[in-house]
Amino acid sequence: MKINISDAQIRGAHVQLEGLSKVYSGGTVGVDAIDLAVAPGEILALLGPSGCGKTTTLRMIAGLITPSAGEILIDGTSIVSLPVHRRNLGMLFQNYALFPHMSVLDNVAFGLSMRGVAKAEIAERSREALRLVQLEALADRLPKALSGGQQQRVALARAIVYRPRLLLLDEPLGALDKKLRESMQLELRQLCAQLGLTMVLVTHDQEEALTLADRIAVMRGGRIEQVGLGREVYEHPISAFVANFIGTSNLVDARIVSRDGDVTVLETDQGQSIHSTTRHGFALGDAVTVSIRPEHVTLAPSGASASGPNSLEGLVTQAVFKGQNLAIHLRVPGGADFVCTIPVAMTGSAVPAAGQIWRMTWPADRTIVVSRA
Amino acid sequence: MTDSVISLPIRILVLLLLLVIVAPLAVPMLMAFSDTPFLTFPPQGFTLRWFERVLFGPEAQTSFLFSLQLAFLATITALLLGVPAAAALVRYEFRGRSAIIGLMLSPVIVPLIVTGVALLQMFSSLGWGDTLTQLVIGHAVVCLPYVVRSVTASFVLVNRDLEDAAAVMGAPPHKVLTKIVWPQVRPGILAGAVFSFVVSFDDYPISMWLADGRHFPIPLYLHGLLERSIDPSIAAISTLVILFALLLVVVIEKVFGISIARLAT
Repeated sequence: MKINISDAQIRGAHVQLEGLSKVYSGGTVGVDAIDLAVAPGEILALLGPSGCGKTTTLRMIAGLITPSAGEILIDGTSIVSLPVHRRNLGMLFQNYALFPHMSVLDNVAFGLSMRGVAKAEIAERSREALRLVQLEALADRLPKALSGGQQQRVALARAIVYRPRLLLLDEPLGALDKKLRESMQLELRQLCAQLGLTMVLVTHDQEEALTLADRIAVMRGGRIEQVGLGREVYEHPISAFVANFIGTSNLVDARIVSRDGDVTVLETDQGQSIHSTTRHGFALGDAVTVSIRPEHVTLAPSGASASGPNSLEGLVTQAVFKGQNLAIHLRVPGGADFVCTIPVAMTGSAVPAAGQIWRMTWPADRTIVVSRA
Repeated sequence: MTDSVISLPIRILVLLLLLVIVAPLAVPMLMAFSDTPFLTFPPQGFTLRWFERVLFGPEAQTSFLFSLQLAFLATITALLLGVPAAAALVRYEFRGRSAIIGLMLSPVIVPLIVTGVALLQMFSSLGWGDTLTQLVIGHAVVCLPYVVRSVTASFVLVNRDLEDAAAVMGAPPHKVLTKIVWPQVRPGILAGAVFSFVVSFDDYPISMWLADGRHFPIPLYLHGLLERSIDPSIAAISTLVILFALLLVVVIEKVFGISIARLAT
């Protein structure tokens, strides 16, 4: 049977983390008892600021860091006691980690030669993998003769040539420029679907997480703060941290003063009233934060009658042209800063300018109630 | 930096520096051909008889071969101690790390003549009789800093991600060592070996204390010759030693494709 990577139907691994922890010798907790499941063929992003434990988690799955406690299961079987080289995973590193003393082809062939595959088959499959990333012509070059994007594609070919069922990506596109990064993101997505690979991706870039991943696990201080589909996490963040880490949010501290069916009425610290019709699990009197996405705020000239319950007047401090959008920064009496984005195509004759007073309105069903901090 | 960027004053300065370094070496090389029974510069006449006398003189031959043997053994010893030491010093943070670095590099700082006499005192109080062993230990002590320095430098450059990548791709630890680490540290080890060999081969102050009549390295022979007679055979030996060191560097560069100059920086 001729083995052909692009035709092979590889089913991705089912990954489960159970109470996975890493406590360093000094007592510092890197990862704090996280539970997480990744379905076969799914792309999951571990998203968070530096030091949140995302890289430690990834390296524990790879076997490069020994967990202090907990289980890592691949298709139901624990791999915690397996050494790195027996885990049969693929991994992409931020700096590509290509072997500088080996040609591109030898780099790609490395994993197969470690598996004792016959020479002829190694050559065939390595070329096949290079063809998959469209770099067959550069097989005999040394890595240093390649551009950053090409190097990352070699690293990708090298990681999938021995057909792992799980691919780990450690900020793989961080060193590439924006254009290249975006095309690589799409390429990776396509490849994952084509090979049926499961992918776990570490990133601090929310845009990358949203573009590349099916689900996002937002990490903070060694714990998973929220996990869900990209859109879900974006539209229904559970905390001010998540709301601000994924995209930008206008965050206003408030207290719940009444609930009437779907409608929650909140009062801000400045005494303004805000209505929300979104679901949340808070009770009367709870101190919470209200999150409003900049794209959901509409602006009207000062003095216009309020068209809904949620309306505030603010002084425009800056109007920034961002290409597709105009970002308007406003200051509300009492000190809260707001930002709202309006599509440039939608701006009519009256465009907000610094120094003017404008009225902001936003719908109650776009007013998210999240936990403070 | 390309040549065009280097300004003229800098070029002249570099040229002068090179002249100061190279000129003294050229003097004995020219005097070695002088057809006079005494050392003179500029050389008068032309003859190869001084080279003939040195190359075919039994004493000089014996000393030269002994120096080769000593340099070889000292280098092997310095490598056996220095390579693992350098690897550990780069890889691990441990208490006393800087103290160990300082101690290992101290032979470069302490005058060699002091190290030599200290070794002699130690060996004689221990009652060790084997001159060759004493010389090898003495030379290895002096060679060690050079090995540690250049091997440390090469280990610092090894990217840990490469080892991780290899392991993830299925390489067991011994394969990671042979396929990934070794190719990257090999130039540093080779450079350390060359430095070590040359340092031992040229050493006078250590050998002076530890050598005896049957173990007589070439620098001692040269010195003895200087005290007895001053004829161009001294220049001839010096020339041969210089050429030998040059040959060593050229061989390393051409055969192994490693730039010693680049590694030394």
